[in-house]
This record gives sequence, structure tokens and C-alpha cells, in this order.
Amino acid sequence: MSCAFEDDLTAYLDRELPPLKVRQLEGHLPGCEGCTQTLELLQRTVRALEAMPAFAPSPQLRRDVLNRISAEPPPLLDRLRAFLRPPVLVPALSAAALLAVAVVATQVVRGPAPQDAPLMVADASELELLQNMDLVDDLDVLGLESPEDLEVVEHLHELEGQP
Amino acid sequence: MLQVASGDQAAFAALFDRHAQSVARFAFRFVGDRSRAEELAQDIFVKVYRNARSYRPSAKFKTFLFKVAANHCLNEVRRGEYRVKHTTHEAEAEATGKEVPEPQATSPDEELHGKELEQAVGEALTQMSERERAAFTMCRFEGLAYREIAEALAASEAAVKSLIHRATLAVARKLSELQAGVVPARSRA
Repeated sequence: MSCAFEDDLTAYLDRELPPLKVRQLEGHLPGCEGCTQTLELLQRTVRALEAMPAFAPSPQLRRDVLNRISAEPPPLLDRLRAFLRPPVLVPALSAAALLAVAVVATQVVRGPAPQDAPLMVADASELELLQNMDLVDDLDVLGLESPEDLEVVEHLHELEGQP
Repeated sequence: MLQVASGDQAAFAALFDRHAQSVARFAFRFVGDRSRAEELAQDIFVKVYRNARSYRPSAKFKTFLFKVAANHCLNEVRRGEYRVKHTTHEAEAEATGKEVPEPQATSPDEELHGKELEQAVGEALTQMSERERAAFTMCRFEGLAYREIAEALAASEAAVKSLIHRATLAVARKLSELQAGVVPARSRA
């Protein structure tokens, strides 16, 4: 069936069509055998469905639902309200304030935390030593520790010239 | 509902008593299985309790309830938690070994007609899309208006009109087949 009015037939039966569409459909029906037959079929069906057996849930459903509801935690807002009640809130705030005082007092007694001291260089010779640390390491490797050894190193070029 | 939102369990029990049958029936028509329908109904009511604060008194409570119910059933079926199947009361009682409350019938003829009807409607429901089934069930069994169904399914009224028409037509054709004897009634076998 391809009548343009067919889609309106169920809504017509359910009294869900706007008045203008109702008038148009009622004007159309006497001349359309297909729509008339479909409307009758739909009417019989709706009447039959009204006579369908009732469905009754078991009494267990009520018990199960109410048990589950009893086990539900109270809503979040209620829990928050319960927390904000004076008998709960005042001791909690007092404890928090005491803890804060204790932390501040500990910091005052300890004093400021020691910071890393800046690198202090006593004089220019130490600075030179630091800059030539790699040479010092070399000397260590050679085992040149005594003043005599250093004197030998100083005059090494003279010794190299000798056969 | 405002009392429920503040955690009043007695108010929730009263709400449950008023709407349990509708929700369980919706779930039953949706999945076609009594015990699964009751599991779904349980979950739906727990969700309503948990989300009571999101309810706005400007909305009709039944619409809010069916929004939760439709979302839950659609999600569970899509997740594969529930396979949709429709059974008669006898088949269900045999399968589960439990006593299943009988549908209310006034005479043997009417009862027989009821079982055939239930089976045919069940088959038609199984073959529908999930949204068609949800819209059809809310409209035909729970009496919700198209506007309320649209709100519950987050769809337009035009879409709901189309879903309900297709679903009602599918059931109508299934019933016609039954009356014409094309589909043998299993309850007579």
C-alpha cells in the first residue's frame, strides 16, 4: 500500500493527529478502500491488545528492590551535610588547627634550612691550581711529589740538550 | 518524589507500589521473559532511587520513570545482556519450574484467545526494532501519549508516530495471520 495517508492511520486511532489532519483524513477515507481496510485492521488490533492478559510481577520483586535500596549508601550531599554538622565539624577543624600550629612551631625551632655555601676561593694561587687540575693529576701519575723532583722537571730541557 | 530524593525509603516504597506493575510489564513486553523482566525492573527502580535528585517536578513522573526504564532496557539489550524472547505462561512455568501467576481471564474461551493473542503479539514484538518495541509498548500497554514517548526515547513526535504505526501494523498483520490459520497456535497442540 502506498497511500500518503496510511502513515496517519494509527495516530488517527490514537487521537494524536492535529485537527487539520483529522479533517483531511476523514475526507480521504470514503474514497480509499486500502486506507479503510487498514484502518479496520488497526482498530481490531488495538481492541485485541486492550484485552491482553495482565502481567503481575511476583511479590519477590518488591522485597528485592527494597533490600537493594536499604543497602544503598546515602546520597553524597547528605553525607557532606552530615560531615558539616557542628558535632563533627568542630572537632575536625580543631584537630586541623592544632596540627597546623605544631608544623609551624617545628619550623621555627629548627631555623632556616642550611643552604649550599657558595664556592670560596682563598687566593689566586688556589684558583690557578684549580684551573690546572689536569696537570696536577699528570704530576700525580708521574709520582712527582718532592721539591727535588720538581727541580728536575724544571731543568728537564737542559738535561734533554745533553748527550 | 522530592521525599525520595532526600533518601526517604518509605516514600520510595509507596512510589514502587504505585508503578511496579507498569515498569515490570514494560520490561516483560520488551524482553519477553518474566525473570529477566523482574531483574530489569529491579535495576530500573534502583536507578530511579539513585537519580531521584535529577527529577524536575515540572516533568510528569511517569515520563521520567519510563525514560529511565526505556534507556535501561535498550542499553541492556544492546549490550547483549538480554536476548529478546517471548514465551507463554505455560512454557515459562515448565522451563523455570516456578509457579507463574496466571493472567486474569474470565472464561476458558477468553483464556485460550488470550494465550494465542499473547503468543502472536510476542512474536511480532520480537521481530520489531528495539525502538519500535519500546514505543509500541509504552503506547499500547502503558497508555503514554506520543509526546511523552518522544521525551522518554529522546525522539521527535513525528518519529514516534512512525515507530508506533509500523509496530501496530506489524502486530495487526501477525494477528491476521493467526486468524487466517497461517500461524498454528502452539497452545492448542
